[in-house]
Amino acid sequence: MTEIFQIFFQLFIFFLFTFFPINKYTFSKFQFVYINSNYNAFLINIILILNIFLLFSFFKFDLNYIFIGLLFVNLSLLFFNFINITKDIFSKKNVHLKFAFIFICFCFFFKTAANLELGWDALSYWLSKTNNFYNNKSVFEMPHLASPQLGAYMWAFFWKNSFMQKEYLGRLFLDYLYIISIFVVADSLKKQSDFKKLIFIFCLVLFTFDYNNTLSGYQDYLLFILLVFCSKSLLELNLKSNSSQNLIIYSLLIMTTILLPWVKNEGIFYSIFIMIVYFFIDYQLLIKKFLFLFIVAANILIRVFFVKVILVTDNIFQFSFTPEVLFINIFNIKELIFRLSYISFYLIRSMFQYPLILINFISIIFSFRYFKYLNNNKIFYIFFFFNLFFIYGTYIVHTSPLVWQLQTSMSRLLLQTCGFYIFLVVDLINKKII
Amino acid sequence: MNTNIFNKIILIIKSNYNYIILFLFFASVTHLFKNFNILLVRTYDERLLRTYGYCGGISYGYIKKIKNNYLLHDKKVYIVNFDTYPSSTDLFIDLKIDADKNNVIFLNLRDTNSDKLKDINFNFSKYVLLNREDSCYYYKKIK
Repeated sequence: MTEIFQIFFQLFIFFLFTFFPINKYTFSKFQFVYINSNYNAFLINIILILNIFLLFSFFKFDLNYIFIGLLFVNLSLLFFNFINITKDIFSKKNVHLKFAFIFICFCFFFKTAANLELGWDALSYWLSKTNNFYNNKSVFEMPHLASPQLGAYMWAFFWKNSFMQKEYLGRLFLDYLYIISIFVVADSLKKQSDFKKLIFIFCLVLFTFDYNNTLSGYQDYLLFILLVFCSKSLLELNLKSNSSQNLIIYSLLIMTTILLPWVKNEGIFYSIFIMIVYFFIDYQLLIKKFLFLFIVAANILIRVFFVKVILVTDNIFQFSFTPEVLFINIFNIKELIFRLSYISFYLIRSMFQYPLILINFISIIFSFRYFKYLNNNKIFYIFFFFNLFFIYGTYIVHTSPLVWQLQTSMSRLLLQTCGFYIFLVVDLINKKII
Repeated sequence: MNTNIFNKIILIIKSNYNYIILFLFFASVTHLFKNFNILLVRTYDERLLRTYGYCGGISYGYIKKIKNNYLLHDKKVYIVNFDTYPSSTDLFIDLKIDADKNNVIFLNLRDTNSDKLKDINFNFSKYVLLNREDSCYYYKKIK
């Protein structure tokens, strides 16, 4: 029973850390972001807290002190706005969605708490990194230096700052972020009843559900969540021409894109894709585009410099390839056809593991027909093109056994980015095309 | 008074029956009730033991037993798993890898001529077997 109470308390802590400091009560300037619901406020605060985690992960600060500092700020803000917030929470507005949010949180939290099995990579890499931060060691002492630290730091932070200090209590935050991202997507549905939004949320959760134990310590869902946020910000920027609103969303996009390379190495490529996509967005000043390019490039260079020079590792990725292998894989037609056909086969197979990938793929094909009605399409097409190129490119140059690699990583690789395309489905629903 | 509350509950159920069906469906898909029951009846340690096994696979139970009975002061141990599994050491936050190999745990050791045993250059004559259960062994270096 104590564990159940701890899980309830953990949800309260997550709420406190993600609803503050920025919401409609504390920063009314951001009012335009909160139209209809508070999920966009959660989005802003999540990006903020993840950036704080990233910053602190480079220094040897005690996790308890950071927690106390953040808790003090958030509790003070809660105290000063207590009446308005409780009124809002217990108001009848969006009551079904509020209840659904808590309900889905508990469904996932209890699932994680009851099934403690960690995935293979989670046990091999991520848990040892998390243990490092849990024991108040610095990033320079962590094992498996080539893989980044943000997810492990986040895991250790909420693990250490829980009453019972059980490992899974830290992982609950990833479940929480995943649910928030689903609600952020559902929030973009226009002129839909709460019931229809709920059906959409449940479908989305079931289509991306943790069938392969992917929430068990893997970092792929964190990339999924961040790409949902990136996609949301890009779409907002594509629609809004108001300069002050534009600037806030632009800053949010930058802050989210900065996080990507520090979650997993694939994030380096995704941040480049986001940067390229941003270049094709309307209503944006050229100087902003070049500033974005500069920040993304600087962030990647810092990551490479950090791994290669400060941590002194041989490879920034967990694999390496020699020019000879590259030549054999690309210019040997027989090998190339073999690889391309296997990659395509596993690509299709992965679509059935996470049905959302299949839905995204169908939506992209379907949207070609309604191209002129959907002004956001180019964002998804550009990202899709580069993503496909990245997937094929990675497996073509990879030196480890191809089939084993495809079996173990393809579905997770596709899951990471499928969050980006969900808004295409939302757009099709909003335009009443499907 | 009671009838009034009962009527109110009935009214809420009637007006929200579609939501209730949706929630129940979702609860059954995510095994909410089963997981809730597991949390009520099984302790954290029991759940870990059921997940990672006693002696076999990652062998959580055996390592925990050795840690509690033999590694009371020096929480350092060198664990070798002879089956292909990720490291078991990280499951224990206070356990450290014993680089000097003073305390050695072998997991899933079924063949004493195993190549892995040769790879780690383990000399049985320098160690004393303190505990053995099935294919799990705990050796301590003779000082």
